Amino acid sequence: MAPDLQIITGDDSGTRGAAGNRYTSPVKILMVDDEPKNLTALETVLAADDRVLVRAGSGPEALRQVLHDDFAVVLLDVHMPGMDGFETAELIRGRQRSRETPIIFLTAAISGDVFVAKGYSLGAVDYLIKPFDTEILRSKVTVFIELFRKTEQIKQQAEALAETSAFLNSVLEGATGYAIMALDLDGRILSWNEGARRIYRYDDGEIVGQANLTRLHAEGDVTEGKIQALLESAKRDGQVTSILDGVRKGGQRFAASLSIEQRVTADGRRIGYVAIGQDVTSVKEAEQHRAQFIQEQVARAEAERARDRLQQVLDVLPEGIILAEADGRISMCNAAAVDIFGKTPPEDDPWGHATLERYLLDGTICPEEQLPLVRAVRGGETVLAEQFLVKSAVAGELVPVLMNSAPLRDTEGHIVGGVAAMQDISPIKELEGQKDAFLAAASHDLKNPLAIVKAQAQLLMRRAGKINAPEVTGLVDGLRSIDQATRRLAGMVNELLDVARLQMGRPIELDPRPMDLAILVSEVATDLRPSTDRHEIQVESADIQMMGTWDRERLERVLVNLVTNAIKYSPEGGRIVLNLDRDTRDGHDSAVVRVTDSGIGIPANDLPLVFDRFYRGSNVGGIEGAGIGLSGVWQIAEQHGGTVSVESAEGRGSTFTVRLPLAVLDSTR
Amino acid sequence: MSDPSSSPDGEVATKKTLVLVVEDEPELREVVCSVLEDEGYEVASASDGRRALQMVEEACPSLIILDMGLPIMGGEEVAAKLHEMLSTVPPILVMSAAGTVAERARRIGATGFVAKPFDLDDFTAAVRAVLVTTAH
Repeated sequence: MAPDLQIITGDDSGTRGAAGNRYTSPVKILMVDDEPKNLTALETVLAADDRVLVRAGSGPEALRQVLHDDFAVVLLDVHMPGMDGFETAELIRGRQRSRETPIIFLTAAISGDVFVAKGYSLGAVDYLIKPFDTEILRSKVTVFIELFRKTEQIKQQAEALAETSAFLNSVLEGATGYAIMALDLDGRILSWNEGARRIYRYDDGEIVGQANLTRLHAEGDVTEGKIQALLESAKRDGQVTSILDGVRKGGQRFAASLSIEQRVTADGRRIGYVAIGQDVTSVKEAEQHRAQFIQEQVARAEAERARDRLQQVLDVLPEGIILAEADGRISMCNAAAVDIFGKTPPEDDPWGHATLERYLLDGTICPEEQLPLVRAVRGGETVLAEQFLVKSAVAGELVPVLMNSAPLRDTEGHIVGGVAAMQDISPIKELEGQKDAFLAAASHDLKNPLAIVKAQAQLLMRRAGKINAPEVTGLVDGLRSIDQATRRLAGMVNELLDVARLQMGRPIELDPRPMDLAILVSEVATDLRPSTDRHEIQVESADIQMMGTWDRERLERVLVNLVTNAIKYSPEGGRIVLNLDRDTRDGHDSAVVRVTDSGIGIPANDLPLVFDRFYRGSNVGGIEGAGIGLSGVWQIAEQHGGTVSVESAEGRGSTFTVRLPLAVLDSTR
Repeated sequence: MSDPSSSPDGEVATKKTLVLVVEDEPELREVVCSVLEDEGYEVASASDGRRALQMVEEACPSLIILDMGLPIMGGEEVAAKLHEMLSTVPPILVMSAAGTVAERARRIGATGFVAKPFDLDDFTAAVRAVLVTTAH
């Protein structure tokens, strides 16, 4: 007896040897015999490491054993008391667990063919006659052991396969964001997971085995043969991914990503495809957002660069520049503007109204609606050269500024903002002050001595007039001569100062008094006739009298200037006509004086400039200019509340027209 | 000459009208004073603003003939000080060589003005006119 032989008695529940790995655990063999020595003999023959021999001394004991364990083979003695071998075999077969268990009958005597046939009919697989050949017994048992092992293995493999398959299936079903489909070689869909149901909204029955991928995509993609082309690509390259126009059951479209991979067996046989579909609407949207974001970033960077360059350009300008958006937000302020204001206006102060102190010339705060920028943006007005005062936050002084402003428009002409340019005119103001001081000094220095001479002469004349003596008469004549010379001198000094004032663009002080313009016109004509022998100076007047309240001396200067110009600029001679008329425009009566010559005229290009202070005609070379000039004529007419205009054609002469209001001039002007 | 107030000669026996001449140019001051004296006014004169203010306070003239071009204290300032000092300022006739005499006269509240150089007839007429206006 081998010492390591395991013997499990029938009373034992017999699980000791079954511990450990189920695949390598020993196989059990059940031996049933009422004769213990027979069992021992069997043990002696069959004992081996790979098996466990289980003894049963009776049929019922054998039945108990097969109830609890699986046996590779049952060696069953036919002749037993009580329940014999056949009965036991029948019962073993009758049980579910042992239905397939092979049974080898053991019998001591040959009982004939009927006996054998009964054994086979009861499920026996073999018969062994006692005394049996030990080799045959051993090899037969070994065959059954092998068979049992194989069967067990297959069973376990099938179980494992089922488990794996269930696991894989759960993975497939769990991938709810992906439609994972198996396709056969023709592209027919063979499997349909939860992701597919969710994305495409079809049930398995509507798709599996019946449809291909064209069902899941929009007509465009299908008619263009894209799906077919993708399958071809997958076949050629192994794998392909594309973005298509997906369609759910019911027709709703969405951005679908479709990936197709060819499946090939280990030996290179193509068996089908795996297709993975995905709803990438949100992915696509995110990509679009990202692209848009990048685009905006780039645009912003470009705008920033352009703005930076504009700022640099503006900063070198000597004029203060402010840009405002349509809502009044100050979007840009150049260095000169910051200098003028002494601060940078904050963005949240519309028009800088609260922070930038701007005053009208009378010293009151400029109301928002009168700010040039506001007028430009709200009213589309172009504001030209208006004076304001600005209080500098640094110096605290009121600085005179000249403001220009204009609306900024987009390509369609809508106002999108405004620009204001301002120039610190304190140097100009200072210069004007200097001019005024010079004129005042010149006036004082010239007129005071004249006043003394004149008053002295007239006083002496008055006193001498009271003395009735012949020698005094000569003195009075002399004094009168001094007085008259003084009068002329005073006239010349006044004219000189007027010319200086007018040439400097400073206002003159009118001395309006009631006068007859008709008389003045004919006097001027009479005075100037001797100055030319080539011209015929004519006066045309519908009215004998033209009374008005004007500054006689200044109007004389205007007329003298126009007539001497007419003489000068018609060097060939000819008629010069002074026409006096009256006219009513907009309910206002005006006296109208026209001075017409037939001289060289004024080139059309020069016409708008003739009244400019610094203008001199382009065709007047060699002709001397003097006096108050046309700009002076303009200023005097304007200060009278009137106008002066010109019509001319080069080579055909000119007509200057002066209009003066007949209404009494407001003396506060 | 029938209007007594326009004929100062008629009042010589009682009380002459006092005219203060404020002018820094001595020759002009003298001749203006002479003219006014010939016209029958009592005349006082000052060559600068400060002296003028004193004399107005002391003598209370009926008329001040004020040159605008005074050195140190100019005509404008003299007028302003007078308004500060007195509740009733005598009428002022402005005399100026500046081109803006009318404007300046209006600014200081003068009753009249003459521009230098002037005709004596215009000057005496202006003086008379101011006195007539303010006498009523």
